[in-house]
Amino acid sequence: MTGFFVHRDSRTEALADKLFDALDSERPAHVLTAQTLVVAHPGLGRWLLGEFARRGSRGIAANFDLIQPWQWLERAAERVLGGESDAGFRQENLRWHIHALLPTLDDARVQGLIDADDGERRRFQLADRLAGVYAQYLIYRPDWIEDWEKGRPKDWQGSLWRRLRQRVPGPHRAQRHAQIVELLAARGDGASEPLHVFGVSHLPADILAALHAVSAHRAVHLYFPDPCREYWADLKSKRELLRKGEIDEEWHFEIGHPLLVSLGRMAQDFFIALEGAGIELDAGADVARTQSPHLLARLQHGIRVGESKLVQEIPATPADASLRVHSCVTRLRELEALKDALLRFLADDASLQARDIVVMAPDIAAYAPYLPAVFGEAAHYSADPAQIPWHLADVRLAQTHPLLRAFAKLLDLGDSRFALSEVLDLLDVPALARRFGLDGEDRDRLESTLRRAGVAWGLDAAMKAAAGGAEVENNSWTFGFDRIFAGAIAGADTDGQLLDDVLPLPGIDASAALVLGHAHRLLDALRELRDGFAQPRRLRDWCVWLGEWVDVLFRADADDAAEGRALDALRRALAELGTQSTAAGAQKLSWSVAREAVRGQLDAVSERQPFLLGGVTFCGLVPQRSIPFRVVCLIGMNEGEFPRDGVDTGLNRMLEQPRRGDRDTRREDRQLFLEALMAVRQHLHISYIGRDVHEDRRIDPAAPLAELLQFLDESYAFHGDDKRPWLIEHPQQPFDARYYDASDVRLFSFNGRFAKDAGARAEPVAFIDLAGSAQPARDETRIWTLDGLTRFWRDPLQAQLHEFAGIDRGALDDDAALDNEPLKSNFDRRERMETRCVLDALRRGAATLPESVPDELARSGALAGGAIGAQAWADLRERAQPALVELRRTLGEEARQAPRNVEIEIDGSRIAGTVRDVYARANGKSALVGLRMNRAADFGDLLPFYIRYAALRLSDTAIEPIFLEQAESGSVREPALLAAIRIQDAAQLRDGLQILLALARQSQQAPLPFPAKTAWAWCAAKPDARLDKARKAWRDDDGERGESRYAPGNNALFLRGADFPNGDGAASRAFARTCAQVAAVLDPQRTILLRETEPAP
Amino acid sequence: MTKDSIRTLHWQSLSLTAPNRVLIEASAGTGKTWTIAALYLRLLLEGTDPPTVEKILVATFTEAAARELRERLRVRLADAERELQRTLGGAVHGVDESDSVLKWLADEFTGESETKQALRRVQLARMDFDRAPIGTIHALCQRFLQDFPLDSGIAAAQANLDEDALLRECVEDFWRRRYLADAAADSAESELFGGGPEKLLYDVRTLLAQDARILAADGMEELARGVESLRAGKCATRLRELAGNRELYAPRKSLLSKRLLRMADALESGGDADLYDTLAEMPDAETIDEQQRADAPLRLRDDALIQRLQHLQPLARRRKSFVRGRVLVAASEFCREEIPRRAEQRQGQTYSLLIRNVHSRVCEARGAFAQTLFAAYPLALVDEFQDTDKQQFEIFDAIYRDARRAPRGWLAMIGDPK
Repeated sequence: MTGFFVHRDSRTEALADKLFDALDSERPAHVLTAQTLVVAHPGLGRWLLGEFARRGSRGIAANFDLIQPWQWLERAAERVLGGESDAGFRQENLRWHIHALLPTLDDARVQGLIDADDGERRRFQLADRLAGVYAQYLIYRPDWIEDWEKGRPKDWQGSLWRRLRQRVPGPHRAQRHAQIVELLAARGDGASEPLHVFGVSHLPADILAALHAVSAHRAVHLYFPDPCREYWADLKSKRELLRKGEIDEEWHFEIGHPLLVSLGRMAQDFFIALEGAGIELDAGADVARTQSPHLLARLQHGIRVGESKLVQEIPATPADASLRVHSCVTRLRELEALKDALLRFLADDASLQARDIVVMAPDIAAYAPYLPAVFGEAAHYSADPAQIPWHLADVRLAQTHPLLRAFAKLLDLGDSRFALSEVLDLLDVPALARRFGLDGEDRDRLESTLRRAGVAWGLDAAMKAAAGGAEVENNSWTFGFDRIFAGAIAGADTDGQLLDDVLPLPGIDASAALVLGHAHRLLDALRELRDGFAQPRRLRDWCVWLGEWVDVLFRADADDAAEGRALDALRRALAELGTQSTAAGAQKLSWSVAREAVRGQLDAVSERQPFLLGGVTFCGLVPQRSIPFRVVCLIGMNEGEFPRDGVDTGLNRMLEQPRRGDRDTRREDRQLFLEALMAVRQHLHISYIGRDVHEDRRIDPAAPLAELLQFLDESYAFHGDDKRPWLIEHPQQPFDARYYDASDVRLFSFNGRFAKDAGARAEPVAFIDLAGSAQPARDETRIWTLDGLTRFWRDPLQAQLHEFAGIDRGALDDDAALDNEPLKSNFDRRERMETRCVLDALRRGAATLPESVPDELARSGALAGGAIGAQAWADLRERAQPALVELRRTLGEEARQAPRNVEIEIDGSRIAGTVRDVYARANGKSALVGLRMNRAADFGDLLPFYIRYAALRLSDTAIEPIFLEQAESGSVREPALLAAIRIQDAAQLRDGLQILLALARQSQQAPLPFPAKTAWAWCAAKPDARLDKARKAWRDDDGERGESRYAPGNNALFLRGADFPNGDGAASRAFARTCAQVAAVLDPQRTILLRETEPAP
Repeated sequence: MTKDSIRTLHWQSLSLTAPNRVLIEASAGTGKTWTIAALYLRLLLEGTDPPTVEKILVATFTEAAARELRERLRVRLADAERELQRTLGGAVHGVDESDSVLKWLADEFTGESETKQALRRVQLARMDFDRAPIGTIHALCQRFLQDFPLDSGIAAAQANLDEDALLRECVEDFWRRRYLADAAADSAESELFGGGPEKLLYDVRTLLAQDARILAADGMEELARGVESLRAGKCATRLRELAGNRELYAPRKSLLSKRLLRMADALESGGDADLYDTLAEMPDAETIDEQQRADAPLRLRDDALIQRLQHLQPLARRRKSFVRGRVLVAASEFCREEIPRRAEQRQGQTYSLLIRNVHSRVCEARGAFAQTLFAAYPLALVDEFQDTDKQQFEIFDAIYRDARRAPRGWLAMIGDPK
C-alpha cells in the first residue's frame, strides 16, 4: 500500500500507540534487520524507545534506526543522486568560505566592519552569522538563491552568493531539490516498507515535497501532534485580522479558541502546508467531551475541540492544583517554590515518579547554578523523601562540567593578568589539579604560602608591563617562586639574609617544596600556553595544538565517569572543528578567530547530551520535542526572556519578507508554550518573576503566559486586583510565616528548618553557636602550645572563628584587595609592621633604623615599590625610631637576644614553646621584651605578654618584664599595668596562667565572648561607666571604627545584629563574667593585684 | 530653538504631524508619565495611517523607570480598549470624567466605524506590545547595535564588562606606572600615597562620569617659578635682616619676625615640603600691619620681597589641590585611552562605551546609520530628558535630523526642568 497518511492527535502518546501498532505488524522478517524511523528530535526518539520497551510484548525496543527528517532527506538524496554531497554548503563549512570571500566583497559597510580594529574577529563573526542566514535561504528561499545565481538583483548578499558558488564545489540543497523530488517520484528511495515520520509539527518545504514524492512508492505515515482535532486551517488570528483591518462589518466573527490561534501559528502553518500539498488529513481522533472537574483538563479539551467556553463551566477553586501560576521574586525563589510544589505532588500521589516530571525554561542555564543549592547534587538517589533526583539537559557543552568551564576560561589566558585567585581557581578543577599532582588540600596550603611569598598578579616584570602595569618584578609569580625556592635552599635558618638578591621565604619544608614545585610546573605550562596563542595557525593546526594542550592540562580520574565523558566531549568538539579545515583551507588564522570558532563549539548544545536519564528532567524549551509528562513545569516565563528574540535581525532578509512556513524563534516559542500546555497530563506548574526584588512592584509575565492569564480572566470575569485561584504570589522569603500557618492552601513548605521560627521572628541570637553548629568534632584533649595560647589571647574572637568555623579575617574582609600588591604608603596593619621592624633592629643590636628601605623589606613584597615604598619607609622610620631608642635605653645597649625554651605544667597539662624576645642584659639578668606601637596597650597585647612572662618566670625566677607602648602622639612609655605584672609572685602567676588556660579551653565548649579591646574598655572603667565605655569601644563611636568592625567576622558572626553590650542580655552577662575572670589575672583598675578575686558584677 | 518659537500647548493640541519636535517640561509629581502615556495613545490612534508600537521608540533612564513606563503604557492601552468597547456596546453616558484621556477618547471617537477602527488599533497594539522598543537608553542602544550589524560594525553580541572594575584596574595601573616603578616621583605627590589609589579612583570616576575635563591649572608652575627665584635671589639674607631689625616691630610682637626667620631657614636648608608649608603660613597684610610699630621706618607690606611672599602664599595654600588636579588630569587621560583599548581587547563593552560607540556611528557625517534607525523608528519619546548627557542627546538629535540638518520625524523630549 502506498500513499501519504497523516495522523493527528494532540496527545503524543496516542500517536505513539498508532505507531506502535503499525510497527508491530510490520516487523521485519529477520530480527537483526533494523527498522528505520524518522523522528522530529532525538529526545523524542529516546522517549519513543522507552515507550516501546514499556508497552512492547517483547519487553525491549530492539533495533530501531532513529533518524531526523533532514538525515532521511540526505540518505534519500545519496541513494538517488549517488555520492554527490552538499557538505560545503552546510553552515559550519559555509562560514569558512564566506570568511575567505568577505574581503573581496565590494560593499563599503562590510569593508568598514572588517577593516576596523579587531576586524579579523569581526569578519569571522559576520561570516558565521551569514552562513546561518544562507543556510536558511537554501531551505526556505530557494527562489532567491536561483535569482541570485541568475545575476539579479544587484545587492551584496547576492553578489557574495555568486562568489560562493564559484568557490564551493558541488550542487547545494536548493539546486538538488527539484532533481531529488523528480527521482524520488519516479523511482522511490529504494525501500518499500512504510515510512513513519513521528512527532513533526513543522517540516521544511523541500523535505515535505520529498516525502510526498516517495509516498508514491511506499506508504508514508506522518504523525502530527496537532493541538486541535478540528479543521482549523482557516482560523485566523485576531492579530492578523486586526493588522489587515478585516474585522469590520462582521464584528462577531469566529476566531476560534483565542489561545489556539495566537500560540499555535506554527502548527497551523504546517496544517495548511500539508493541505496545500494535496495531502489528505485525517479527521482527528474523536474525543469524549470532558467531564473533568480540573481547570487544566478543561483548558486542554477546549483547545482540542476549539471551544473556548469549556473552562468556565466549572468553578475555579484554589484547591485545584492542576494549573497553577507562581509569581516569585527571584530565580532562586522560583526553584524553591518549584521544589515544594513537586514534593507535594509526589507526596499526594504515590504512583507519581520523579521521572514523570519535566521542568523547562527558555534559558535553563540561568538556573543551573541554583539547582544544586535547592535540589542537591544531580543524579543523586536516596531514600530521603525530601530528596528529588534530577538531571539537567540542554545546556551548552562548556557548562556541563567544571573541566570544560575551566578549558573555556583558558582560551582567554592571553588577556589574563594571572591574578593569584584566578590561577588558584583553576586548581578547584580536580582533573587539572590531578594532572599536576595536586589535590584539594594542597590548594589551601599553596594559597597561604603564595600569599606569604607576596604573589599578587602577573607572571613577571615584562608581562606586568605588557598588561598595563609597571615593569616591576615584585609580587609577580616569578618573584614569589624565587622566594620560595630560595627558602627551600636556605632551609630553616633563613635569617633575613638575601640569597642572590632574593629574600628566602621561611618555613618551606620538603613536603611543601614538592607541592610548590608542582604549582610551578602548572605556571610554566600556563605561560607556554599563553605564548602559544601569539602564533597564527591553520584551523587544523589549531585543533591539533589545542588537543595536545588538553592532554597536558587535564587527567581524568578513571573512577569518575562524568569527568571522562567531559574530556571525551572536549576532544570530540575539537575534532569536529578540525573537520571544517577543508573549508577553512590553508589560510592561517589568528587566535582571535580560532578562539571564536572553538568557543562556538563549546557554546553549542550537543545533541549527544543525555536526555530522560531518570529523575526529574530539567531542560530547555526545545522545538519538535513534544513529549507528554504527568507534571510539566515551565519556569522563567518572564517578559523579555520569552519568547526569545531571534539573533539574525539586520542580516536575515526573511524577517523582512516573511512567508508562511518560515521558522522564526518567536513563533516557535509560542508554539512551544502551547505544546507544553497540551503535553501535561496532571499538573501544569508555571512560574515567573512577577515582583521586583528591590522595590515592591509588579512585573508582567511573558506574553504567552499573559495571554493565558488573560484568557482565564475573561473566562471567569476577573478584573483588576481580584484574587485569582490559579495565581500564587510567593512571599519574598522561604521562611515567611504564611508558608507555615495554613492560611492559604496553595502556600506550604517542606522545609522544616524554618517551621520552628516562622512567624515568631525572635530577636537574633548574639554569639554564633559554634559548639552547636555542625562543626567537626572538637578535640577535647587538644594540647595547648605556648604559641597557641598567646595567639588565642591576642584576639580571642578571631582565634575562635578561625579554629572552630575555619573563618579567616581575610576571607571576610571586603576591603582587602587580595589580588593586588601593596599600593599605598600606609600599611594595612601599620603597628605590626612597625613592631616587627623595631624588634628586628633590636635583635640585630642596631642602634638606628636604616635611612633607606632595608633590602629584606624591599624584597619581601610587603612594601610597595618605587616612590611609595620610599615614602612608606620614611614614615615608618620616623615613628619607629624613638621606640627603638627607648627600648635600647631601658634594656641597656649591651643586651643580646637569648631565646629561651620553656616547658611548664599547668593543671596537669604541659605547655611548651620558645620565647624569642628574651634578652641577656649586661647585669647578668634576663628580660622579656614587649612592644605596642601606635596606641596604648590593652588586653590583646598584655595578656600574651603576661602568658610568656609567667611561663618564663615559672622556670626562671630572675626574669624581668620590659614592655613599652607608644601612644598615638608618639611618646614612648611603660604601661601602668606592667607594675601589676612585675609584682606577681610565682603562685599568682601560676593562678593567672591557670585561669587563662581554663578560659581558652572553655571556648572549645561554648563561645567565649571576649573582644579584647571592648573588654579592656569595660575593665578599665569605673563600674558605673563600664557599660557606656564598652559600648563605645564595640560600636562605631564618633567616627572611630568600633571593635565590632575591626574584623568583619566579629560583627557578622558574633554580634549578629544584637544589641551588645546592653547589660542584661545573655551575651552581655557572659561577657561581664569573662571580664571579671580575666580581671582576676590582670586588672586595669588596679596596678597592684589583690590575691582574692572580686565577685562578678 | 529661539525663544519666540516656544509655545505652551495642551497635550491634546500638540501636533503629531512630522516633522515636529517638542519639549515637555514637567516637574516630578506633575504627571509626566501620565502625559507620556496619553501622547502614546494619541500617536497610536490618530490619523489615517498611525504607526504600530514597533515604530515608536520610548526611552528613559533607569531600568526601574523603564519597567514602570512599560507598565503604565500597558495599563493605558487596556483602559482605552475597555473604554472603546464600552462605547461600542452602546453606552452613551458614564465616561469617567476624571480621567481626561478616557474623556478624550469618548469625545474623539464617536462614530461607530471610527470607534471600531480605534479599537482595532488598540487591540493590535496590545498584542504586539512585547515587541515595543521601550527601555533604557542603554538597552535601546544595545538593540541598535545588535539589529543593524553592518551599520554598527558589531558583528556579534559583546559581553558587558563591569565598568567600575575596569576603571579600577586602569587607575591602579596608572598608579603603578607613576609611582611603583622608580623612586623618582615628584615629592609633592607623596602626600597622596597614604591611602593608595582609592581617592584618585573616586576623583577619576566622578570626572569621567560627568564627561568633564580639568582646565590646565598653571598655579603650580607659577608657584614653582616663584620659589625658584626666591632661592636663587639670596633672599634669605634679606629676610634675616628684616627679621633682625627690632625697630620694625611693635613691642611684644614677635610672630612676624619669627615667621620671616623660619622662611629664611626653609629657603636655605629646608626641603620643598618644608618651604611650601612655611610659605603657606605667611601672615597676611593686616597681620603684618598689626605686628609693626606705628612709626616703623619701613612698611613691610610695601617691601618688594614681602610682596612676593604674599603673592605666593595663596598659591602655596592651594598646592595640594594643584597636585591632586595634576595627577587627576594625567590619570583621567590615561583611563580615557586605556578603557576602550582594554574593553576591545577583551571583546566586551561597558555601558559608557556602548553609548560612545553608538554615538560615533550614528553621528558620523554621512548619516547612514541614523537614516536606518529613523526608518525603523520614525517616532520617539524620550523621558527624563534632563538626565541625558551630551552624547545621548546627540544620538537622538542625529536620528531625527535629515541630511540637511533639518528636523525629521517626531521627537518628544520630556524632562524635569529642576
